[in-house]
Order: sequence, then structure tokens, then C-alpha cells
Amino acid sequence: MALGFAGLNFEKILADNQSLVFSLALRFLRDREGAEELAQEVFLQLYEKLRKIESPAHATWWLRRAISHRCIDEARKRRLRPRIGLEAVPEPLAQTRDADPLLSRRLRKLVEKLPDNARMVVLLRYQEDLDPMEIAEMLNMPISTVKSLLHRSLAVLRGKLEKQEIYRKQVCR
Amino acid sequence: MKKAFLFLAIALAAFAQQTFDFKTLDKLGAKAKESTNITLEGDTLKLAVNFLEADNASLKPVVDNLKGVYVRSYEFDKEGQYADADLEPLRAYINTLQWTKIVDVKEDKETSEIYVKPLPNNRLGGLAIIDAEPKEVNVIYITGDLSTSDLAKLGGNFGIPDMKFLHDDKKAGKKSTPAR
Amino acid sequence: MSFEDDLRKALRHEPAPPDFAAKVLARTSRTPTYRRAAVLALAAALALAAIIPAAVHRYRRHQRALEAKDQLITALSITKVQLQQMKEKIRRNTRSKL
Repeated sequence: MALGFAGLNFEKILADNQSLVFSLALRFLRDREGAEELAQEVFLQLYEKLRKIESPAHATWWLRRAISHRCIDEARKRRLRPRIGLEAVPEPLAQTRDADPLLSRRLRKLVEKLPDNARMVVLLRYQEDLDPMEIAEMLNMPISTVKSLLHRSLAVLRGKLEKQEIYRKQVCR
Repeated sequence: MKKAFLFLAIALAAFAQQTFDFKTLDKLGAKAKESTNITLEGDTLKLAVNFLEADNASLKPVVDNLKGVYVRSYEFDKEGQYADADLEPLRAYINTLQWTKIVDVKEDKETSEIYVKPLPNNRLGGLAIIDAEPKEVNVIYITGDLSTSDLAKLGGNFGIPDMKFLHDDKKAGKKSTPAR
Repeated sequence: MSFEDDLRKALRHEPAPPDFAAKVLARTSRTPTYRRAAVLALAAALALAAIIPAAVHRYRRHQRALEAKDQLITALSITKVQLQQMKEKIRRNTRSKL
């Protein structure tokens, strides 16, 4: 059993935070295998640094920060897709033709299409419930940029969802 | 004597254009739970415009001649957290500039105003929006040389649905002021 | 339920694969050491870059420009939304008076 400086149990930290870390990676990278690999690596990094972790809350903070940064670096390395500005998010018509009516799933798909920085900020805000200041500190980003990304992303998501709703209503008539 | 008076009036008007301190609006947000404060002018605005145009050339006509962009947007937990009187200095300043108030809507406890500085050929030298609601207040103040059709062209950008009303209403020669 | 609540609901944690913890624990017994060397090398390279004033200045100016660009986009977005809301208010106000 690995214990940190404060007598922290690594296995407990792993059990308590694995879903958080995996979810962030999965929703950011949109690749299950890649997300699992990155999530594992982040826990291994934590294992190496366990002596510097002061509490379970500190471990959670550390893991969030590590996976966020690793995800952004990984996306940059992979160049998953060409850089898409918020004004050019592709039309979702193909998704609605796939007939997935569940709101949550549609929202997740829309979040997946956001540009990298915007996607990470939205995930940290609405998946991890961090406030803009915490997100700014975590991502080393100016708070005005965080707020700007949140504001614009919500407008994009709302707009795209509304368009999908209009299209669905027309198709279902 | 008349010439001297005219010269003084012009000088005062020119001076007035430079004297509003948007920091005075910051007290509006003293109790805000969420706030957005943007002040872009001078070199900083030029930097922003250059970068924006590099990403999206279609925005060039909208942003190329901007001189100042000021936004104060505050959201509150409950009503009564800001004083409408704190907006009066801005309203008074806009009045000294003799901008035209083209929208003045009062609905329940909400006040919505749009002021413009009209220029020839469907252009605007400035746009000010003051939207005061019980739990939210938004102030936007933009100066420069912009056209109403360029503002409408923002539609489709930023993921926000297309909007033509400002352009269409001006084209039809209508003022967007509702009957009271 | 607000849009933001819908978003929170949509983004609830996805469970990690059932064997995730076991895989991590298996790997802890063979943590590689090469990574430390790579991190130290990267730190040294970054420190070197940081002492070059021109590069730092250019980077900071670039960051300022990016931040300013973001603020400009936000300002224009807010302007658009406000104008749209004004249009709706005018329409409602006009209808109620007819």
C-alpha cells in the first residue's frame, strides 16, 4: 500500500478520482483508448509525487490540473482536427438524422466539437464545477479569457441546440 | 463674438468626447456575482483587431475602424444590488454628445436604451446600449466608424443567430422606438 | 431546468473502465525513470528561453494580443445578444400596445 507524506492511501485516491480523470480525458480527447492511457499516466505521475500531496483534496486538485494540461498537450501533438473557430462549428444536421433524441448525449456531442481551449474550460466548469478563477489558475489562463471562452461557448452550444430542435420539429411533423 | 462662442462650443464638445471614465461604472458591479469588464482602446484595441482580422477576414469591415470598446456586464443574486442612479453619469455624458436615442423601452422593472451617433451613408460614429434589469445590467459603448449593415453581418459569427433588425429598420427609415 | 443544469447533467462523470485501477496499480511497480530526465531537460530548456528578453517580450505581447482579441470577440458577442434581446423587447412591447 503506497502512502504519501500525510499518510494518504494511493489506492483510495485512485478509486475516488478515476472517474473524474477518465471523464475529463475522454470528453476532451474523444478517444476512449487514448483517454484511458492518458488517465493511467496521470495516476502514475501522482504515484511518483505522492509524498508532496498533502490531502485527498490536494490530490484531486493535482489530478484535475495534470489531466487538463496533459489533454491539451496531447491534442496539440495529435492535431486531432484543424483549428476551428467558434464561428465555424459545423452544422449538426447529420447528428439529428442519426436520430439521437437524448438531450444529454446531444449536448456532449456539441461540447466535443468546441475548440480545444473552449472545450477544456467548459468541461472544468460544468463537469468539474470549478469557478472561473479556479479554471484560470488551473490552466494558467487570464480570467478574462476563461470568462470569454465560457460566454462564447454557451452561446454556441445554445444556438446549435436550438437549431437542432427546430430541425427536429420540422422533420417530425 | 459669435465666432468665439462657436469655437468654444466645438472645443467643449471635442473635449467631452474624451472625458468619460468607464471606471466610474465599476461601482455598479460591487455586489455582482458575475461580472465582465472590457475596456479596449488605443494600442490594445489595434492589437486585438489585427489578431481578429487574421483569424476572420470577414470581420474586417466591422472592427477595422473601431476606436473604443467598453463593456460592463453584471449579474446579481437578487434584486436591489445596484443603483440605477449609477448609470446616470453615462446617460448624461451621452446627452452631452447629442447622440440619438433610437430605442427606449420600459417593461416591468426593465429599462432598455440604445443610443447612436448617426453619420452619413448609413454609418454610425458610436453605439451605446444600456440594459438594466432587476438582476442584471449590461452597458456597451462602442465608438469608431461602423455601418449598420456591418453590425448585422455579425450574424452567423460567434454562433449567435443572424440578426438584421438594426440594418433593416434603418433601411426602411424607421426608428425602433416603440409607442409608449 | 436551466441550460447550464442540462449541461451539468450531460457532463456527469463517466465511470472508468472496470479494470482501470488494477492496470494503474500494476504499472506502479514498474514506474519508468526516463520521464524524470525528460522533465528536467525540458525545465532547463525553458529556463534558458526565459532569460532571453526579446523572446519573453514577444511572448508577452502575443499573450496580451490574444487576450485582447478574446475580449473583443466577447464584447461583440455581448453586443449581438443585447441587440437581439432589444428587438424581442420592442416586438413584445409593440404587440402589447396593439
